[in-house]
Amino acid sequence: MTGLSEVINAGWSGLDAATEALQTVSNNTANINTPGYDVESVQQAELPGLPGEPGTGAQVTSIQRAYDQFVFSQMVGATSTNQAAQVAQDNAENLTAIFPVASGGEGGLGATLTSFFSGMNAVSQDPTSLPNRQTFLSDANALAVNFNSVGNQLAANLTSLNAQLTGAVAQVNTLTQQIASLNSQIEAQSNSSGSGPPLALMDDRDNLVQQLGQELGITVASGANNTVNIYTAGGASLVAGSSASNLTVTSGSYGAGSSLQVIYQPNGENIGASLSGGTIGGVMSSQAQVVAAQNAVGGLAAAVASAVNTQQSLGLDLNGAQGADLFSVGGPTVLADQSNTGSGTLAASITNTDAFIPGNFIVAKSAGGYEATNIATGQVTALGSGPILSFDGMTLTVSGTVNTGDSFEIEPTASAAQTLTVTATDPSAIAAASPYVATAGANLGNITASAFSSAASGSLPAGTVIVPATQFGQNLTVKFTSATTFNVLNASNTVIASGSFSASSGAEIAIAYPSPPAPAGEVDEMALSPGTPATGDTFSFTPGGVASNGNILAMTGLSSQNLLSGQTLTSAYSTLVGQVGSAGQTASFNAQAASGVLNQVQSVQQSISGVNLDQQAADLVVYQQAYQASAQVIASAQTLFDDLLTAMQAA
Amino acid sequence: MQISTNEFLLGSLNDLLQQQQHVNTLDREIATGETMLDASSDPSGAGQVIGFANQVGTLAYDTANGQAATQTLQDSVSTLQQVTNLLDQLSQTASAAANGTSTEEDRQSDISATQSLLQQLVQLANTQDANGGYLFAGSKSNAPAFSTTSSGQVVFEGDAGTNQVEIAPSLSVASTVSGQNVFMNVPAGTDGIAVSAATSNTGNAYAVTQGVTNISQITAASLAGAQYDITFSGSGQSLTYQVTSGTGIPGSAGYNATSGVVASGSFTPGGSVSFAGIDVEINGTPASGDSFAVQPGAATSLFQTAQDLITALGMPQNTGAQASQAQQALQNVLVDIKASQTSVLSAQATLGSSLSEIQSVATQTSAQSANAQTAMSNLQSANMPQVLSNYSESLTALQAAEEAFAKVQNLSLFQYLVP
Repeated sequence: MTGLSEVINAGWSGLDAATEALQTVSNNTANINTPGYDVESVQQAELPGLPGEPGTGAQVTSIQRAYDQFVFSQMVGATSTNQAAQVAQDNAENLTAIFPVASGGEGGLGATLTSFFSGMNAVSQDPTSLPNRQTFLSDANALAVNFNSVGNQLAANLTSLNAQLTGAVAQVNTLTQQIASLNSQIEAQSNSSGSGPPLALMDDRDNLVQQLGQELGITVASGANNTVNIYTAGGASLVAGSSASNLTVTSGSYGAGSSLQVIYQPNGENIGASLSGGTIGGVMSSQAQVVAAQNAVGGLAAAVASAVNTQQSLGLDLNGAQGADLFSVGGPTVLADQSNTGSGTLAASITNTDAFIPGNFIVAKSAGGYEATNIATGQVTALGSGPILSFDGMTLTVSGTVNTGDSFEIEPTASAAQTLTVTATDPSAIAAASPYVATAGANLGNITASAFSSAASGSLPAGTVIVPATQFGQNLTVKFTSATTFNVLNASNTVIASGSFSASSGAEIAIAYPSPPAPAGEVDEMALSPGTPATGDTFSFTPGGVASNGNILAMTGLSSQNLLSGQTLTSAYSTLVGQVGSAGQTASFNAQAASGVLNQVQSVQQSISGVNLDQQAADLVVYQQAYQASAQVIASAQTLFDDLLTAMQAA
Repeated sequence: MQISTNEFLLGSLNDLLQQQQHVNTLDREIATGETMLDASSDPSGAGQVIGFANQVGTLAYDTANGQAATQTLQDSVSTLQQVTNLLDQLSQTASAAANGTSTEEDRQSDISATQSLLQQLVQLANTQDANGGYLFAGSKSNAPAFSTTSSGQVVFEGDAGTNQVEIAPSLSVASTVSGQNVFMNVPAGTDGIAVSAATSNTGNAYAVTQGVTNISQITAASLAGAQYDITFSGSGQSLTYQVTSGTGIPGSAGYNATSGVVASGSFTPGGSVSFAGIDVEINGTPASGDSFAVQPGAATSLFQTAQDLITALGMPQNTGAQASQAQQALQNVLVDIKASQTSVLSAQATLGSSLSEIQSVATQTSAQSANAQTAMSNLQSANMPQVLSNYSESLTALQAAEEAFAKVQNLSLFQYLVP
């Protein structure tokens, strides 16, 4: 048996439910722009009546948020990947801007190298011209300045990447703390009553998780009582329920100047290598590219400086003196591990740029001797037990005691581009002239003398007469004492060497260069042609005069010689540009793909959790009508009740 | 499936932004005329562009080198041409004096003319280039190549250094010749074999070498100071000659015969004597006891030859023997002038071949440079018609997207629910 009061109660419950639903709609529309907000909906159920009778109204059983754990994880992942790709793309754009290719690479290192050799060629065309020499010196300065500028830009990129890393790690720590704290509130509220999960807190928390994903690639796992646990890609726990673990950024054990490390506080380990995704992942991969570019550009600077300086030392400047260095360039940086137990040190130098492959190395002493590990590629080279260690055109000299387990980081060319400077200021310091010119006397025989050229003493044919370096720069005379023998006399007519001559193969004579500045074993060599000399025939060797271009011509030849890693300077540079370009292209493709994936996942997530205003408008109408109807039920019940009372009074 | 209102708007906005980016890229391509705006737009092409740009730069300075060298080379060639002209005059003077009709007065005026020629030769040999460098001084171009000593002898102050200049990648040509090789170190005589008459000769004969007929017979020993002496004895029909080899002056105490008699026979005036691969023509009739020494010609110089001519012109020709001695000297001068001419000609040939090589290489390098530029432009330049049509397409698409956005953002059910 149902009474009017049941009708009123049911109507009242309908009003109540409609009000709550209307509030949900208004909350949904109010939060349309709230990040991380998941659209909410009311779940209603009938209030059951007695058996065989109608129900007694409606009730709101719960408010639910439209949320899909799987889609949310996907979105966090896509956010991380996208952020890493965007950071990498930004960095790649910065990097490609340093190596311009527009208009044939105008303003880039390649163009400056070409004009450097162009200036050098003008000197070789007329070595006596001071304007030519001055122009060449200016070209050399422009080259050094361009190298400095590229080096500085790369160093600035590294600094900004480091700052980005430090900032991102600080952000990670803040976010994990906040998530842990929200976790604990959610846990408390979920436990306290049966009123349903704290949706707003969970939305907030999930929004923070997504922000965390922006900084770092993470794995999200559901915990008890609506909490979440968060791990890095490498499996280190960042948030476990209500506790968070911090990360710190420090310079590595090789001290200032070595690459930064990300330390996982709970165990003090460097987990940098296992981090991927997010700003941090993007910075990590970008750093490797910038360091590679820095080393390659440094390698170019070191190769130019070394080759030009060596060639300078093999010629005579305008004043007739052996050429001094044109460039100065910083040598390799050696950083000792702070945990080394031995006091030994390592000195590194690049002895052969052509065999040298730019890159940073860790040289460690193991029980089996020293070994070098390329930081970028991980390739290991065994170096033997020292004290002189040679590999890839580098020579390392160990001094003092190095214990097993001690290690050093070697950065051969990290600072070379920044430190390249032109030391010569006087245009006459350019060593254009050959050290010697051979001039035949009034000879009866038919022997002719070749021009002098520099060579390594080891490459000379057997029987070559080598005049010691102490005589270098003096006027020398070759005098035949018979058809098969000759003496070499110095300016004071003292015999300083003698040799034999063959009618069929001639003879070779060389004068050793003072070393340093010239490389050890380097000689200036010439050949006497085969033929018939007469006793008393002479050839005088005199230092090359102002118009001699023998040495600068050899220097211009450097442009087509393999000077760096088996490549010419220009081809090494174009390889570098190609590498930077293809890294940029990959980064740009990745960024496009990642942002496409993110958009896709975002639209899926939004289709589930987003607020559609039209939907809300429709809901508003529905719930409004439900409210009005329920109100009408109560009004009708009241009328019925009044009718009943009136009838009773009338009766 | 519902679409959230924000997603609906943001999605359209993202599409709009992408269209804008595309339009912006095309805009930059049109403005710069290049499609390769940075290395990442075409990494392998970027590497090639750097290579091509370097090739173009290298070819440009090689061409500039060639042009600058051409100037120096032409200076040298024209100077040597003047030297050749002066040598011709010297040769004419010597020939005129040697034809036996010249008078003492002729010879005196020839002497002063030759002295002036000698001065001109020294001047030419000290020619300076546009920058003031001495063309023939070898590497010591900052000082005159030749100077005249107080005794009137012209000496070389430079060295034999010559320069090469790069005119194409890995191709160098000689850009200078040294005065040492052109003017000095000219081997006296024909093929380096010189003849001289003994000062004691009484006959009226002189000798001219016809050069070497068999080079293999010129030995190291002969170059080391050995000489051949042709000595005549008898007279008229019984005139005979004998050739001996030795060192020192024949007949003197220091004479040292090395291989005794090399050749001998009877001699008919106007005939020639051949031995050891050498052919010597004897003009006139030698007297008994007359001798001629044949030996490798020491290196002489173009200037020395001019001075020899002056000396020869000044020799007295009062007796037949004196006339023969003068004739011998003039003949030797004529031979030496020829040797000098050969030396100058071969220097001209060296310079000329450099010049022609520069010319032919210039054509080649400009073609190469054009190829490299074309290749670079193919990689880099924007295909304007295509870019422009892409641009207008993108622009249309952008406008359409913008209009669609404007319409979409107005759609809301709430608008229609407002009472």
